[in-house]
Amino acid sequence: MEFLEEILEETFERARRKLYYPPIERFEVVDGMSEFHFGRRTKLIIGREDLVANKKALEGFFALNLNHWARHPYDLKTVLLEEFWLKDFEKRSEIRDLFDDFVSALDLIFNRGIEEVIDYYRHAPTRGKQDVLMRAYLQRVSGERIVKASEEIESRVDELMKIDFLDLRRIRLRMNIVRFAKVVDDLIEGFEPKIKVDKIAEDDLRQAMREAAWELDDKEYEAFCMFIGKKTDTEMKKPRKLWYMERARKYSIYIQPLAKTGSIYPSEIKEFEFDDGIESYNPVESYGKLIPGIAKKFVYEDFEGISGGMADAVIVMDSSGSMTDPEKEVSYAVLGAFVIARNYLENGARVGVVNFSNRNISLPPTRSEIVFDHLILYQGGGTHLDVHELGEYLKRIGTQVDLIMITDGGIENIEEVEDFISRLRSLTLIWIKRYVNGLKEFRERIDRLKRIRSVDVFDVENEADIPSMAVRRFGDFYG
Amino acid sequence: MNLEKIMFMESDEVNSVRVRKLYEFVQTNLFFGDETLSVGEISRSYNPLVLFTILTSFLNGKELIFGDYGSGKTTSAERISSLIKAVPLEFIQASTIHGHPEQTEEKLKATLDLAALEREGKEVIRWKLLPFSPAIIIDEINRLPVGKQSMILNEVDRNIWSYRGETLIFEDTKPFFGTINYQDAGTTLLIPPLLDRFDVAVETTMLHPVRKRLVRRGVDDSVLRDPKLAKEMIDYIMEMNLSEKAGEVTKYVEEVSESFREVIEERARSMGFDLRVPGKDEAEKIRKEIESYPLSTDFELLMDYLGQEVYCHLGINKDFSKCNGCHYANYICSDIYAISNRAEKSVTLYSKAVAWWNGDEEAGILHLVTVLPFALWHRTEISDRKRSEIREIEKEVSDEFFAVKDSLAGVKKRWEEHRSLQIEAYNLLKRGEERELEKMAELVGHPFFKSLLRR
Repeated sequence: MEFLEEILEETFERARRKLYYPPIERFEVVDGMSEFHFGRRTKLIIGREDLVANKKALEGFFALNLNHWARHPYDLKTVLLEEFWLKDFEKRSEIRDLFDDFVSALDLIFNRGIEEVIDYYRHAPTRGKQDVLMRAYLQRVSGERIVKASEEIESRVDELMKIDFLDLRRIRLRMNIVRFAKVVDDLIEGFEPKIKVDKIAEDDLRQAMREAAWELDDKEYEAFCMFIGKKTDTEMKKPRKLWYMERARKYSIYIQPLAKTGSIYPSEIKEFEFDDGIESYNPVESYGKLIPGIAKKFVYEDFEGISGGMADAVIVMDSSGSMTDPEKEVSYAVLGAFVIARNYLENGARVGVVNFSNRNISLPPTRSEIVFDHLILYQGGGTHLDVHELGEYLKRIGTQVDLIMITDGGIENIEEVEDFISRLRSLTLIWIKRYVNGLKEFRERIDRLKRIRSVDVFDVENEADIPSMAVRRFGDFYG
Repeated sequence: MNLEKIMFMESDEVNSVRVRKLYEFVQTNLFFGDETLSVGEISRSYNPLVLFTILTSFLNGKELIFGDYGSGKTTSAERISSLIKAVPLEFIQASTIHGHPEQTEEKLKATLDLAALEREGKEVIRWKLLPFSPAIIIDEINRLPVGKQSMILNEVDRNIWSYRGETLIFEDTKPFFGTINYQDAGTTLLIPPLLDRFDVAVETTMLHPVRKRLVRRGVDDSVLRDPKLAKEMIDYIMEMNLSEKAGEVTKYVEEVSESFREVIEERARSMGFDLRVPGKDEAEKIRKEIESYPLSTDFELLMDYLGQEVYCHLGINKDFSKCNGCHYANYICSDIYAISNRAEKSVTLYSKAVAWWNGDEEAGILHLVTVLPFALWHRTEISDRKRSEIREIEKEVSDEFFAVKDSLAGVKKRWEEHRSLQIEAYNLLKRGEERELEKMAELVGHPFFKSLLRR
């Protein structure tokens, strides 16, 4: 027994060395089937049935599995995407697993020169037709004698020869795996995949699903979440919102600091000048006198690097019928709003929302994820901003917030809004002009707002404009 | 230690041996702690607090001392500073700053001479003891307002002190010790940029029962005491604390130190210790000797490797939540947040110091591995997953220290496996064989190799 363990240990290390030492440093032999898990402290789980009585074959087996980490599928997200792309196939997990073995084996042979994997397939038990196909394919590409295959299998190999398994660019991978599935689907019988999606830890699964948002468009992502959710116990609620949230992670925006830090202290004493505010006057250092050259003032400076300097933000979000419905196509207004909200929330600030169309739907500043629900909410009515209610809302908040308005400019009560905004000390206006750029009326309304001194306007026509947004800070609501 | 190096020294005793004797003296007479730190494979163990405090004193570095109430954090810094800088313990104690929220610049650094202001209408600045003290100790630094922490660290950094337009510029820098309790009510968190300013952080160790018994009986630190001299020093400085007289004050403190050094040595001799406390010039020589210590190739290779592994590979803005299911989840990037440039400098200097201490030819892997956790654990955030992995493990240090040390051990193991490939990769880079390098990076997959492809 000890001898066997020594051999296994030694063979495992040899395989690791040949793969340039991936950070999978342990293995465990179990009574069931072999498994592979992505994540921390990964170890290979080797089913006793897979242990072959040939050192080279064993080395090939270890290498094949280690290469799942090193080359393909590489991470959990890829596994999930492959499952999703195979959603029309009943035996998708088995097909995916087989495909991953194909890629891993070919990479070992052609990119790494580890031909022991051929020995593995020569000695490993054949459990079904898919195994015969695998061997026949490897026999064809390597020229090594591995298996005697029927004509039918050979014709399938002909089909597989048309697939470039080692082209792992996403677009090719998707095509390859579907083509592969069509060839092998009816051959699959009696085997358990090494990576079982329904056995993946909840946290890992959630994160991998979130990351997939970067590679799929909004509609596909929704379908992806529903599909993986059904397959596992991990339900991704509101996938559309999740997609916007993940996309928003791509962008950071500049938020002008109110102060470098959030707290200031009197760092220096200087001559008091007559246009200085009386609050900076230092009576002690000035002998209680207000005489030029004698009167002194405090100069305040920031504490170095203290966090907490972020003010809360309120996003006034136009969700009228002229805006894009985020459920139907990509809304840059929602994406931009998510980017702004995320940047504030991640810096410890709170975000409030006033979603307006026919009526204002208001959410007081909060750090909860509910902010995103209010931002993605689409009312689809007319464009009327109830400025009285907005004023009351700001009054209720009581503290200074950064005010950001996102609209396409189709505001019906523009006079009222213009009057309200002109009384504000500062407002950041994000103009979503993708569909309304040519509409004179919309442009004119935005121009009216642009003329207000306290308004900073950023035009957003497509996703590329989002990082150029910035939020200007203001001291008080009203100038 | 080669002959040339020994010949170069003025004394007949190798400097590191002299300093190790100081360690022995402190460890057996002035501050007790378990010797849990091994430097090198065959050498003996040391009390990390005493070792790093002595090294910090010579390097004029900055050290953070963590520990519970009454565990000897401030005492250790005061006694060791008094010994190394050869000034009465009472003087060091008098210049120690105690952190509390009401501390002001005037109480810490300088104040106006109110009498002169009232009588003559003149602004005369009177400096406090702190700028003239050869070592700065701030007790419970996390109770000091952040602005004051920042101000003092900035001024200690350069040893340039400013107040109301007047500036004191000293030629030499000085060591800085901050003590800190583990978080409790009434303390503020030290912010990351400030933590990053401390070269190393040490913890007070657990005590062996015999040592505990000695502590219970009371430690006799009379070898360092001279209340009369301390009073004289304080009176002199308080009388001469004008900017234009700063040079005279500095000279005076140095002279006192020269004579008190002999007193300490004499007292130590009577206790059976052959101590030779280095004077100002000798201490300067020691510092230069340490700074010029060579680094081994392996030292540089491991630092290069570690520096790349710690980056998040899913984006520059690190967020540990991204580590779930990530391809790189087994690397140190999912354990600790970052290693700053300042941290790398501290690691290098203190590794040299430890090699020097040990009398080794150059600073190598053993010294690096010894120093790394002490230089990193206080300045880096640790992921929750890493914390939970080590929380239940038996240990004699804090969870944070253990977590960082454990993660670093993993990096070292991986580096040992990749070392020869790393050398090969550098050779490819040197020869400009980019395609080969690219291929190697793809095959190995480790972040270090990928980083070589960056422009």
